[in-house]
Amino acid sequence: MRAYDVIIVGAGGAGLRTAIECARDEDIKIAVVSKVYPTRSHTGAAQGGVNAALGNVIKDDSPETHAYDTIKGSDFLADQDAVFFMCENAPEVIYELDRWGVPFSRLPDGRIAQRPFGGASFPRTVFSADRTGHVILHTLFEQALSKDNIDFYNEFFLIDILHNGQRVKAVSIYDIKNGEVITLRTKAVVLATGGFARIYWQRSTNAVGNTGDGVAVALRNGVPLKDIEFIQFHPTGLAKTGILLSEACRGEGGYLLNKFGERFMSRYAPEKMELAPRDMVSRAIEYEIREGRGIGEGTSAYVYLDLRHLGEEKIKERLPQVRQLAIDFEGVDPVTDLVPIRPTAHYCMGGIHVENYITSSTPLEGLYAVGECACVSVHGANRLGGNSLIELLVFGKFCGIAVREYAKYNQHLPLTKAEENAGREYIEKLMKREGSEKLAQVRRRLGEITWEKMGIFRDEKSLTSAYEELSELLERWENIPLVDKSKVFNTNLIELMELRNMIEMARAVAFCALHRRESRGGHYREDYPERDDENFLKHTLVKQEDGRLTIEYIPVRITKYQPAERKY
Amino acid sequence: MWVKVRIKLNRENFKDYAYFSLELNRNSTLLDMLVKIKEEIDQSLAFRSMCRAGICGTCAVKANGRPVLACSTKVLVFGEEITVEPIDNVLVIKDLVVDHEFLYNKLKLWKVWYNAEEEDKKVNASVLKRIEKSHECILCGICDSVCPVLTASSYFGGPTLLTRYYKLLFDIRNTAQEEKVQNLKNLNPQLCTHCMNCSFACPKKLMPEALIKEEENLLQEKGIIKREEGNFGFLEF
Ligand SMILES: Cc1cc2nc3c(=O)[nH]c(=O)nc-3n(C[C@H](O)[C@H](O)[C@H](O)COP(=O)(O)OP(=O)(O)OC[C@H]3O[C@@H](n4cnc5c(N)ncnc54)[C@H](O)[C@@H]3O)c2cc1C
Ligand code: FES
Repeated sequence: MRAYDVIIVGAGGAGLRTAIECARDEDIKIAVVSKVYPTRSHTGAAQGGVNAALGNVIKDDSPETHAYDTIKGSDFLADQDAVFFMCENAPEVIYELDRWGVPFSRLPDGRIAQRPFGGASFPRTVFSADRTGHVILHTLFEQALSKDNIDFYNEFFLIDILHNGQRVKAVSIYDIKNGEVITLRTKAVVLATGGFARIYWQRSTNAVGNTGDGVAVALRNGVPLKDIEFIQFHPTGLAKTGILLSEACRGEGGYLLNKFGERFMSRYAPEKMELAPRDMVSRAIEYEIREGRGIGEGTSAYVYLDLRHLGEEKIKERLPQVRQLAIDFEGVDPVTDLVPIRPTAHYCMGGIHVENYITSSTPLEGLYAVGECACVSVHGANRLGGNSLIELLVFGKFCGIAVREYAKYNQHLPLTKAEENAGREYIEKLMKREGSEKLAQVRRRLGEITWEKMGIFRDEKSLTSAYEELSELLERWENIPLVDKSKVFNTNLIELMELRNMIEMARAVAFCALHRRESRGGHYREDYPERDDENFLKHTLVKQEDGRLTIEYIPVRITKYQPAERKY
Repeated sequence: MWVKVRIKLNRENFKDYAYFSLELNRNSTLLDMLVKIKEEIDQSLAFRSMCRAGICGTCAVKANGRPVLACSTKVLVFGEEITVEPIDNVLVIKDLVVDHEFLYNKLKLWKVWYNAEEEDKKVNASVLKRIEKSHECILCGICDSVCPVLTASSYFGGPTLLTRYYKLLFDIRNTAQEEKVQNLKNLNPQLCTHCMNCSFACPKKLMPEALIKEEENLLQEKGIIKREEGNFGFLEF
């Protein structure tokens, strides 16, 4: 059986940044496992940019202001020491990327340019036109490729992590190309499997593979998840497909208009207008639609994004991809037309419970989590645009250092035959699966439940019903037959496994949302419309034991800024 | 609208075209069509997709003979009869899924990455403008699949590799610039016949042929190759 010192599952920004750091010690043997080729990871779809207080445009900006904006944006649910750690280390990881070749857009004097973004007090967002994630992902990949102590397992699907209740010892992965299951022994596992915003199947900005596999695996193994009820809905998804138009649209000065041509944000955030944080803007749009001031009705209703006044030149230079997406997927050209948009599920603030932000370790020894699958927590109840990429880079780097050291001073644990075979048996069972349900129907139903009952607006009734129906859906999942019985590139099997992960995650989200009887950031309860610091200024931890979910709460670490009302 | 689709399947026990007929709305992309077929008719159908927004480069297929990104191409442009096949000149794994490993192996073999020092170097906007396209490549493999030289000669680096290599030659942040220029010789950009297939096919409009031309010029300027070497009599197409 093959063995590594460190196994990193996920080859997006988080996984690759961790791998690069880990690989600096040439004696450490690393495997990077990914169900898609690294450059296909969702990080590549990030458009707008990444936040770091370089102070290049306005000198007064500082890591401290970055931290304050992040904490305020989080609706005071972020752990403040972790936020400071991220913001202080942000400039250095950006300069590292610059040295590795990322073509960040420049100011006339050659320094890195910065643009304004929602919720930020200064222009702080570093970018490369509007394909920032793409260039970062490819650059990180090339750097990782340069390390001879990293082996890539491309198109391998994580089935499970193996542990003895205290410490991890191996991972079980499925080779999509030939249908074999292999077990890799390891001293440490880093989960960097990305988010699960695809649980909103019909309306998500996310890649189809963002099904929360790593988070679901953690949940099934009794590792607690934190604050997963907080889902971010991005205000500017294309109306027809939910494909994202970057926050840069608003950052560069775009307007939001209702059917009367009013800039309706003046009603909700008179000062910041379109640049208010995402949760507020998303709710504002949905209110406009509800009040009949949107265009169209029901699920196909929308409002307009207006970029025309920016002029052709600026749109082409600063927002080329946005323009192309609008043309390709909505059939309108932002240079001359209004663009129909509507909020869309976008990002998961919560994730695997990270206990120590410096190492990214979880309660299970040897298990680490970084990136969108993790919850440090630096985003609290609402993430600011540009703060996810910086999270990947900073925590990826420090996690890399930590696992590298951990692996040096620890040994592999023994593995029993039964443990080694468990993954294969699971796959064999699925391969034989017969039943009367249809995969696509169950998945569609999942998307309806999540959007209608646990979306932008929630209440006791809708959440209870979501939880119950998702539990039923999980039973229906057991009855979905596997139609494709082949071993080679069986995407039917992959979709089946992903669907289970999504339903389990959705059910856990509903459960946590039900228990949080307040409104904060991305979690909006119509029956409890106010933030309730007395009872809920705390992190939710959800655990699954024998299929049952349990909740406990832990305090938020408030080191500097006392919670205040969040006004923009 | 109703479309008639013919998809080239490639499975252990079936290697032939399969026929489907289905209704789509006018905005549907090729990827929407494949998803619909998979959801409603043949769950075994294999194709790749991820971002569905034209940026991850995973979904290249050939539709009516033209290599395209399935997610970014409207069905409408092909009319009511469409043939979908895997892209050319690569190993087919299953149905529309082709081997991508070779793309990544090439990057590793030719060390397509920046060598960085621990100090910052300033680049100006004009350099960035120049290397922009090289950074925009999404590794979809389409340009290589249409390159006649690549199929005829294993000495040629091919458009994907040469496009991505370009940035290493012209960006001062790469400390191994000189070494990369020397290695460029082994990728033989001068073998390019400038047929422009790659530039016409690239879904990101990166004009690989123009970059290859510049690389060839660079080798000539540096005296690493001579001008005549560009004329390759044996490569007649
Ligand atoms: C459209 C869009 C635009 C965005 N724009 C911005 C922006 O401008 N700025 C910003 O800061 N943030 C942005 N974000 C958020 C940000 O891009 C993501 O949060 C971030 O890229 C997540 O990175 P990651 O490395 O954690 O995960 P990902 O990049 O999603 O990578 C996950 C990895 O895990 C692997 N994986 C998953 N499941 C399995 C499995 N079962 N087995 C094996 N491997 C698996 C995948 O193959 C992949 O390699 C955007 C998000 C979206 C959706
Ligand atoms: S699915 Fe990503 S480019 Fe088509």
